[in-house]
Amino acid sequence: MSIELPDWYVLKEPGEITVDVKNWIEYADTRINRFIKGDPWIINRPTSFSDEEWEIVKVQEIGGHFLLRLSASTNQRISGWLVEVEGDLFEFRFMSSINFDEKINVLKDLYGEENVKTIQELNDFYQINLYRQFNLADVPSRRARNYSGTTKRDLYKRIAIRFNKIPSVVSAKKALLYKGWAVVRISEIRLTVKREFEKQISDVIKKSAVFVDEDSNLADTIKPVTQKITELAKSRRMGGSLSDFGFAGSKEVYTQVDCYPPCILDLVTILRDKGHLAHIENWQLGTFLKEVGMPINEQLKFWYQTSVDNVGLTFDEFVNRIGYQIRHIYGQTGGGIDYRSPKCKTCIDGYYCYFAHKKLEDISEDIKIRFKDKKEEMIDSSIDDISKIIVNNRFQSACARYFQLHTGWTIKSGRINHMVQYSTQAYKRFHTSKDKEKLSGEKNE
Amino acid sequence: MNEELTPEIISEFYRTKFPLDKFMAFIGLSGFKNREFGFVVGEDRFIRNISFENTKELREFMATRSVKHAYVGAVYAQSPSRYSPIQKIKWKFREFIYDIDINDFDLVRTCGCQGYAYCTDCWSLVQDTVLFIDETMRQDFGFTDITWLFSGRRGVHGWIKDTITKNFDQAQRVAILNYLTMVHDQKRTQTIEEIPKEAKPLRDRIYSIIAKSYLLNSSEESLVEIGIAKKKAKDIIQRVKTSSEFDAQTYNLIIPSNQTVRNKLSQEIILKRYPRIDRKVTMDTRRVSRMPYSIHGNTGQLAVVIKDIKTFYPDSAPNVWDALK
Repeated sequence: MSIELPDWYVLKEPGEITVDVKNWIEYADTRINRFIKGDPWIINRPTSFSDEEWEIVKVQEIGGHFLLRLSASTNQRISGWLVEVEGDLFEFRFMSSINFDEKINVLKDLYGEENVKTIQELNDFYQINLYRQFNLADVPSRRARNYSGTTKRDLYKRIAIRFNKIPSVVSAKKALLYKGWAVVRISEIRLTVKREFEKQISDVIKKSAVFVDEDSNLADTIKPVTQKITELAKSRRMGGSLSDFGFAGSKEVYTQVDCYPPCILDLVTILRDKGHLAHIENWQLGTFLKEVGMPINEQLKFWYQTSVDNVGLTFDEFVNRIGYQIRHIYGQTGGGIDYRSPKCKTCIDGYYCYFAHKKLEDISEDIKIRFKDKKEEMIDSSIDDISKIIVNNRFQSACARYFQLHTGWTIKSGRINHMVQYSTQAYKRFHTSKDKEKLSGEKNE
Repeated sequence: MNEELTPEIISEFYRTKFPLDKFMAFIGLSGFKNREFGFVVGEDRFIRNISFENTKELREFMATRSVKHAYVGAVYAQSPSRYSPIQKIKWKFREFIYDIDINDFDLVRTCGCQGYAYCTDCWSLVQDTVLFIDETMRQDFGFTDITWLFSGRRGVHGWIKDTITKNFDQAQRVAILNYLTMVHDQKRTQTIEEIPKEAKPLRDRIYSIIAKSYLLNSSEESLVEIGIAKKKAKDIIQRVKTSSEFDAQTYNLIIPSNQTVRNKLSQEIILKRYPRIDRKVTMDTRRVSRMPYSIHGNTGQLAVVIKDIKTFYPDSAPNVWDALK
């Protein structure tokens, strides 16, 4: 049985499409510009559109995406960027869709038809009434209401997915499990579905490389697109803006180690003790140090002094042979992209998050040692609070509570979104008297 | 232990009484040659990365080396050996296994037993754990091929052999573990997770299996301490004792509606009686586990299949001397 997929879903088989090269590049260009503006768009067929008119819109959409896909298949950095922006766009479109069946069909395509069922299908299969048996009601949750401002998008409705397809949702106990099916609200699977989409789009991008390899004309066609993306990357417009996180860039913060977040302190400690980190942790620490203002030469010295890679090498030899990754972070080699450090959400999923990845008992010990000058009751109540928050998987909130213990200030939003946010706020608290006054509204000592 | 567990006794058991057919039926014939085995031999030397061409070789090894403890591990793409250790060869599959030990409850055992010691009072914690996990695996996850084995000393092992579980990666194994976990850092801070709102079957199971045992083992005074009126406390205990079928609905009916009291009570129930699992055993796909039907080298007891956990008590488990009679 084939399922009907929406036209906005770029993993859908495009069917027969004819497009001339000039238009093709134009469509890709339009798509890039839209991504850069950061303004997601939806494609829905207006009732007044004829088949021909709608076909043009579809060709623009699919053609633009496919050219970007081909371009990304030849360049790992562009591929990473495309996966990220297409992932954001997919998430927006999936959540915005007002057609519940459309959502179900997309899920069936992503996870396999046999792994997704509607509640009605599940009821029929097991001859039960899940809603009655578990006293469920499809009342919009606060989260679902907040996302769209309305209940039209059915985000509060439940669907069933095989539990092993969405382990993070099962892990957080955000699903009702029945005979291996995770019955879950659409609003609770937003991120996990986005990640599955990103995984699949990443795979199809890799597979697209074969088309470019086999066709030299195609390789020539994608050149201007690749060039444009690379140019844009160099001009720092694609790395995400720090203002997204509600704080400005931060010079000199790197000099104040007491302002570093616990994840970074841990990485520095591990690096000093063992002389090396995992590749992604190198990246996390390197981009953080850059973003809190450490100049490239300082950072090269830092790695030379702390990492085991320096064995038998002079500083110059180290810079030439090993310093590639550091220069890469600063955009001085490779594609020249000015990389940003990962957000907390990204760290939780794939980098190092102190609260998500460290053992609770070790966190408790660390806090006692780091804040030994603070009152014992304050430390105990903080450990108690942080433990409770961690076990409920709210790692960014745990970091905010840790920040409160560290600085005496409360983060208004109740969570830390970025490791640089932690450092800049701590820097303001301890080292900038002017800013301390300005932010007095956030104090809670 | 009845008498001394000598190498000769061990050897005779493995040569004449070890139910090799049953063991093979248990782990399945698929990939036998590439399955890892581990043993404690001689003066407590632990050896692993061992595999066998056939079952005859396995029996011969265990008998001639008088293995004190025998363990079985995962199946790999080639036969594990000293020259092809498991770290260097491709992992293929492993059953999904739980390890429940009575000493994981040391911080909440009120009978006075600690470590390897147990009594009927604290053994009920293991029994409830098995009932709880077994029902969760069947009802929530839909698994059907579940066997519980006595570990030979102070605990039980749950083997889930449904085909789907064998290929689970670590993230999938951890997800199931996390779904089950309510007490974090269980040997130190014992932080309790809030009762889940969406995972209703799990919540209902806490209010039936675990709450029932907690209330049956509670005194009026302990319930009064939580904030329940004395008369009500007496009534609750009476109702639990007389209820033929105690479920979440009964719990909700008999417990006072005051939210503070309810929260405090549910926290106490989870802290004192909720399952505690050795996470490493379940997560680690390359770990070896005690071989079903083998001898526990410290007690002489056999790792037998538990037919009914409600009536099983370690002292009644068969041992090597009984087997050789």
